[in-house]
Amino acid sequence: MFLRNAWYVAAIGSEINRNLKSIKILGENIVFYRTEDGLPVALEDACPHRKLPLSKGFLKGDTVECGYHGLVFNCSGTCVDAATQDRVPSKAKVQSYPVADKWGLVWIWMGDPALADEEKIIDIENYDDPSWKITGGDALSCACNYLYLTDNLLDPSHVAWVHRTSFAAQGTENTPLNMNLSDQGLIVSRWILDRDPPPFYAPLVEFEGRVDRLQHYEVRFPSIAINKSVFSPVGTGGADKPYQDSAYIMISYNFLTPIDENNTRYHWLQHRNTAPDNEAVTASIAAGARMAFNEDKEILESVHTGMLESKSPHLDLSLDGGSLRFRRKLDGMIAAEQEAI
Amino acid sequence: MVASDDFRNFTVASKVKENDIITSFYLAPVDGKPLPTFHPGQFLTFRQKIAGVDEKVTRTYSVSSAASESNHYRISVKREPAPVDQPELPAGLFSNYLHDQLNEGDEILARGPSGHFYLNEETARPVVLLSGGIGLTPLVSMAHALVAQAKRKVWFIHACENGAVHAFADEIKALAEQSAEFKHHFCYRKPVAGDVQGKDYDSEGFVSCATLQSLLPIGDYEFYLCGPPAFMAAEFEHLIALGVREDRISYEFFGPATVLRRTDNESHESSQTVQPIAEVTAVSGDSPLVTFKASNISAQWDPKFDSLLDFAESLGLSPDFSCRAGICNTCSCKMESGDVNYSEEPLDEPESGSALICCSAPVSDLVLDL
Repeated sequence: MFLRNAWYVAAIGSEINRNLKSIKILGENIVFYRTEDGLPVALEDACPHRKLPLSKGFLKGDTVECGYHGLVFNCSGTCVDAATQDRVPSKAKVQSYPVADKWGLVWIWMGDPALADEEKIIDIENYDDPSWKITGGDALSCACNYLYLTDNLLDPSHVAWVHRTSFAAQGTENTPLNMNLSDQGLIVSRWILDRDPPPFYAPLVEFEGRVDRLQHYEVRFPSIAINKSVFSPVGTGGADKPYQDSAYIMISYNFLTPIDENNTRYHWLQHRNTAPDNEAVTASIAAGARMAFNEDKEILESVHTGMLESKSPHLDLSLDGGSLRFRRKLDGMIAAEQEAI
Repeated sequence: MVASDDFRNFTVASKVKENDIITSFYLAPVDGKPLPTFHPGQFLTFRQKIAGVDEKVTRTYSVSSAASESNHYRISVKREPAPVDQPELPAGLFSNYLHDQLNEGDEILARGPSGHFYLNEETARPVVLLSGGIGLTPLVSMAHALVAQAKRKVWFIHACENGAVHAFADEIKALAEQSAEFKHHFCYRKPVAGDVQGKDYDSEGFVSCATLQSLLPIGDYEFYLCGPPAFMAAEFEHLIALGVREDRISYEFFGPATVLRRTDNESHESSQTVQPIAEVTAVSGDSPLVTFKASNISAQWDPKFDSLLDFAESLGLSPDFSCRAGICNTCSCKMESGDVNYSEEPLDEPESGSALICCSAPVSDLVLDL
């Protein structure tokens, strides 16, 4: 069961074009394309006749023609031509989904179309600010339930074991985490004061000396994770202090779209406030993110299988406090939504 | 037993600061008549009007001096602050009065000594005097008596925080100088800079089963235990685990009194012969009584612990746990009576009548099915 009244990332913007593309989201096969004006379209990927995926057919103008007997569907899913008979069957219709282009991504609303509001798509602050730089356009498929990924993105402690190479972890950090659960989602965060910058970030931090570091792990319902790192000159960091101009800020946006219960499409963006024109830094961040996420993927796919096939009970540890609270609240939201349907 | 029922007037002949938290008072009778003899281990009962309190306040303090001292009694009092985690509670009324207001030359009413926790001088068994913190005072008196008799082997085992609060170290070492039969072992929970192992203290941490085993050759000892409730409960468990018969263990709580008892069939009979505990000494504040029913342990809740789980572990219990953060329910435990407060909101509301002991503290007397 998934939360339906939510915007999910369907694809990178450029992946949706004048070719028919089939993508499975929340267990539903959906065909994507763009109109001649460039607007994204998402239709149920199954002709109502014999359920041949429409993605096996042909894009004709702004319509899709089934590759079996030529039923033609417009952008709203209505059959507008049935070549083999005089009259178009009155019930010939496929579901259409609200879609939107935003932040270089194509978003899809899987719930009640009447509730689809593009304003509710997550805001990316400073997106248009030229002193900031987005590193994006990458994605992975993970053969695991999406909630193992949200678990992971609410759990700072796994870094020491899973990301030995990518983030050169230096062991566990004992600074306690603050937890804040709201209707938006869960934030787990802490300021770690007076440390040497970790090796992965050291080249990116532009000021000298030791750092105060914010670790901010947030997941918004149902499955957008925001991982923010702030490195501030030692003595200037802290929960109630404004960010310094010299602070290095790196925000990682992670968009987890359930393909089905056992598979997840993982899109991400990295957003930083330094060296916007430095291609080497951009390339290094992009490569670093992909490497780290592949490390997560390998672990979480095996966790998924391990949990599925387990023959003995599993344990919950203290570190699971955040993710379990997130899951509980999401379960409640899904149940409430199902009841309303 | 020789004890007077009437209060007598005593003068503070001498007030000696043993360390930052413990002060001794040497009390001589105003009437100059001989003091009644007493059994080492017994206590004096004081009654005093204290400013700000309507009723006269009564407290008992063990005599820490030798029973052979004929012209004074010595009591040694720890200044009881408010509990660290409950600073809103009052500090120990009487102990602070003694420390701050009772000076040399002042008079105070006292009765006794009395009490049922005292050295059994009718046997020749070797003796282990096992104390925690300020609980050593009656055992110091016993130690003097045992060394004077020079008949029995004695182990004086004392646990305290560190050298800064270690009272009577020199007095005990001097007793060891007098008698080859008298041995001592000091265990500091957390030695501080300047505490030298082998000189000031012998072991670090808690007095464990292993410590007791290493010190005591196999034998039929009489044990005298005195200290705070958690210490008492833990040491009592250790002794039982080492096979000590219950009727060989005499004890007195400092702080709110509780009962140490095992009620399984094997030891039930002997529990009848355990010496009854003495009246409460040096009470400071109230705290709920926690009973771990399946383990047959009751102890006064000590607010220094973060959770009932920590408290149970300090008493030698080993409840199951996983997260210790209120999310996994592994530590869920039935409450037969009483209730708890959560320091951390559990992930799921515990079933009514159950408690997650990893993140809770008792709000009233509590009986747990543990």
